[in-house]
Amino acid sequence: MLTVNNISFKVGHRTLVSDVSFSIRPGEMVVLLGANGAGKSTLLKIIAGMHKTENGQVLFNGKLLGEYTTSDLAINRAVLNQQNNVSLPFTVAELVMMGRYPYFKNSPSANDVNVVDEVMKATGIAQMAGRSYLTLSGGEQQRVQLARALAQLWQQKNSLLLMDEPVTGMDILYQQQTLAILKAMARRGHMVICVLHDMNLASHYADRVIMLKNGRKWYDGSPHETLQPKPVYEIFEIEADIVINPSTLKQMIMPREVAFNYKQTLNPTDMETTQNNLKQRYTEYKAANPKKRIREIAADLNISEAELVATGIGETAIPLKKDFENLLKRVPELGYVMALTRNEYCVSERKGVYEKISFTPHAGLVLGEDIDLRLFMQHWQFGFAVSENGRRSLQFFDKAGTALHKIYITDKSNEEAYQNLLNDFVDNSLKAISVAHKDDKHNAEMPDEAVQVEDFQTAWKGMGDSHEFFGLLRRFNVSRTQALRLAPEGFAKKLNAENFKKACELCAGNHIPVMIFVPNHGCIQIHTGNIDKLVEMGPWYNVLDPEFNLHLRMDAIAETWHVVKPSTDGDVNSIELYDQQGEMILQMFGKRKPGVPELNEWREVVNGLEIAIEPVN
Amino acid sequence: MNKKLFYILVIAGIITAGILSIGLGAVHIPPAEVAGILANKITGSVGGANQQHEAIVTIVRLPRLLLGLLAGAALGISGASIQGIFRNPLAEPGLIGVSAGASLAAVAVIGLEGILFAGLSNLLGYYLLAFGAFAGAGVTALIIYNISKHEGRPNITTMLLAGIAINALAGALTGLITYLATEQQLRNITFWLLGSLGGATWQTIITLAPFVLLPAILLPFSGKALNAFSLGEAQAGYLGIDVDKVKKHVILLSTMAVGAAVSLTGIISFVGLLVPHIVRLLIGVDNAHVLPASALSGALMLTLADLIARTIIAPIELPIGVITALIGAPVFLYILIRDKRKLMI
Repeated sequence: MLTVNNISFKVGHRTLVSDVSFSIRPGEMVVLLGANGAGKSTLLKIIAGMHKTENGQVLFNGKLLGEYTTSDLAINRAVLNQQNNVSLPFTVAELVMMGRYPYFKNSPSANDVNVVDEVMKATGIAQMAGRSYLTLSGGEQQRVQLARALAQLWQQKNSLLLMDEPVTGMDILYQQQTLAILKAMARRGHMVICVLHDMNLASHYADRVIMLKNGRKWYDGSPHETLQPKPVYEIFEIEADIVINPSTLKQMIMPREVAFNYKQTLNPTDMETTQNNLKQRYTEYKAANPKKRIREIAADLNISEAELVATGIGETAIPLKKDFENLLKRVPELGYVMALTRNEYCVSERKGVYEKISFTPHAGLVLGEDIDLRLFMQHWQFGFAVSENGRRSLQFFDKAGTALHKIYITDKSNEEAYQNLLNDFVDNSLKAISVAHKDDKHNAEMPDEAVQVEDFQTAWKGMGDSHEFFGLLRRFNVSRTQALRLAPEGFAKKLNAENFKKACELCAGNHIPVMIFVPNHGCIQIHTGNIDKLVEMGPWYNVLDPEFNLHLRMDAIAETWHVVKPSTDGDVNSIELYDQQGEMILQMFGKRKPGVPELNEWREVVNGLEIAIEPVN
Repeated sequence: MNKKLFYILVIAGIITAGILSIGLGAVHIPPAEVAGILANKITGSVGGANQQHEAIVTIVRLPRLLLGLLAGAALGISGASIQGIFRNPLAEPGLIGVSAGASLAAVAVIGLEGILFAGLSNLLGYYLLAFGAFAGAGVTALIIYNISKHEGRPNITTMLLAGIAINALAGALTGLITYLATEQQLRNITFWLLGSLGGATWQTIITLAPFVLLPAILLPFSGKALNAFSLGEAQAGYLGIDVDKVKKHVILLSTMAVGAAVSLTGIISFVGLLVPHIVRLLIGVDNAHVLPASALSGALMLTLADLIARTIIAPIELPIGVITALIGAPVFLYILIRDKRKLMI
């Protein structure tokens, strides 16, 4: 299993790979597609362990890539480069034997010799075993290099083959054979990542296609989903027709003829044209559905919220420079504002002043009495100052255009400071935006049997602080809901969603202060304090207090858990809500501070829940 | 050629050339007598042999033979290793500055003797020269190595270019000192720059032996790594080779061997470049064999070259570097022309 988490790679100021995540299971053959310079080779080199990234991490079979020694890696992954210059005239057999170098010290074992024979037969080069590599044609050399890479992992299950354009220079038969071999390797339990330029080969041989653009992951899905006119146009800027091959029923991609026009330049006004069309659609839709909120309209139009906001550039929206850390450090000047953070199913709105803002390499922190936030700046991509229906706000979005955080100006805010802030951070050059394809979370969970459950449970019980929980998830490579499922006895109990309402009522009725966390991938907003006025409206469950509002879609809650995390200050109890995808919707704790045990009343509330309402299975 | 056969032939060649080399010279000693004297020396028995001949063999010709063998082995194996590390068949130990540094230091010792080292006797003079040359070789190699270091690891292209620049600089300084030298110094400088095995004594052999034998024993263990290097440093790394360690290891050992040899013999050109090429043509390119075979072949080539240098216009002795270049250059050109396609340089 290979898991790539938010990796980025820079050379100087040029970002070659930006915030890429995906994971691959043994048995999978993944094809990387993208235009020249999209970051495909760089990504492979990062996964190969050659480039070290500053951000993000690569987990390979349960271990961080950086924790492998050179020789350990050599028996678990092989690399075929784009360029294969060999400086000395080795024979073909000698060169393939190099793939066995990680396995012997001075002379090869009988097994090594066998593997080389088998691989040479499989790749169809056995008859040239004694020939000098330098006298072969380019395509033949490429086959020898492929054989070398295969020999390196021939008997290693769960190992990783990284192939950078393996079929370059091969004739059509060997292109097909090479991919057939790679696919067979995948089926034998290897993981294969292969950079290709030929989309038709990808269509026939890939289990999955990942498309890169400008160093970012743009699409990730089956060949059927990804090899469509729209993605192909976005990635390669070519118009293509997709037809179905009648005999294989696979898609065939047929690029249309391109006329060469020397006056033609890639024109930023194209983007503006698209935006103007969108603006018209938006205006019409809004007129027809005056009650709908922008987020709903975005969903209805199948477009991102940021793109809709951007249609207002010049009128209702001012683009902001992507210098969000410095911008946020100035937000305290605005005085009393309202902070809004939401995910798909829950909105948290808290009024107050931004204070104590700092940024660490891992997260940004706002640690005020009222406004308490954790910010993950690597996801922050677009910012706008928006003025609509008399409400002014700063709004921030991720690369797919999904809202991460908003700051609303109130009557008590400092107007002048707001204007100054806009003057300092306006980005006049930005006329239109282009968003990335929304990540379909491909967080394939490891099967439960693959988790070292005993160690995991011991580590859980040994936590000294509830913050260690996240590290625990990473270490054992488990998702949150999986972790709860595999929790040690008595540390995670499944509840009914109604229990959450019950807990809110008990806390409100007894004036028990709580902490409510509402997370998305770019921001976690924490409300600390009492809750009072609880109101249910349709599917929405709301807290409607003067300083704090919460809106929660009860019907979206798929799992409700009572979770206990040990800490040096005693056990910490929480109630956690998850959606169908296993994404966290909300987390509630009793009010507490580091070094102080949690409130006894809260403990009673949480532990009483299971008695109050029957638990579900 | 079969590898075993190759080793047998080269070793047989070394023994034959050795016996010939000990026998030939101003005083002719027949091969049978040479063998007898050597056998006596080894077994420790006395008598039977001509006392004068025995003295010539043990005091003059045997050390000279051994110096040739050691220096030849050092040049051969270092040449093969350096070509492997640089992934360049035209590389030779001179590229990492060893020869130029040694030359500069040696020429400086000779040229400035009167000014700086006044009063030094001839006995000390020879050792001063050797020590100076060794230090010069080491310091230059160290400077080039440090210039080429980027983020703690030597960059081979930078190293090659830095080597060219430092070689040119050292060459210019050597030229300057030569220009200012006296008649007698000039003869000494020329003699040193063209190489000679004339300085061989048991003392020098014992001093030199560890510097050559240690690399000759250790370097072949890097054969596999150097093979992987031919795929490029990145791919070598993917194959589990600790690229930086191998580079440091090979450069250190090569510098040590060549620096020590050159400091005692002067510059002997073409051995380090040519020997590995001939070896590869005969037994293939697998460095696990090329390295030890180059050591043996280098030893053989230098022994033969010295034999020719001493005997061809006896009693006058030609500088050995002249012989190696005179024979080596045409042979190298012949190989180049014949195997242009195969070498693909």
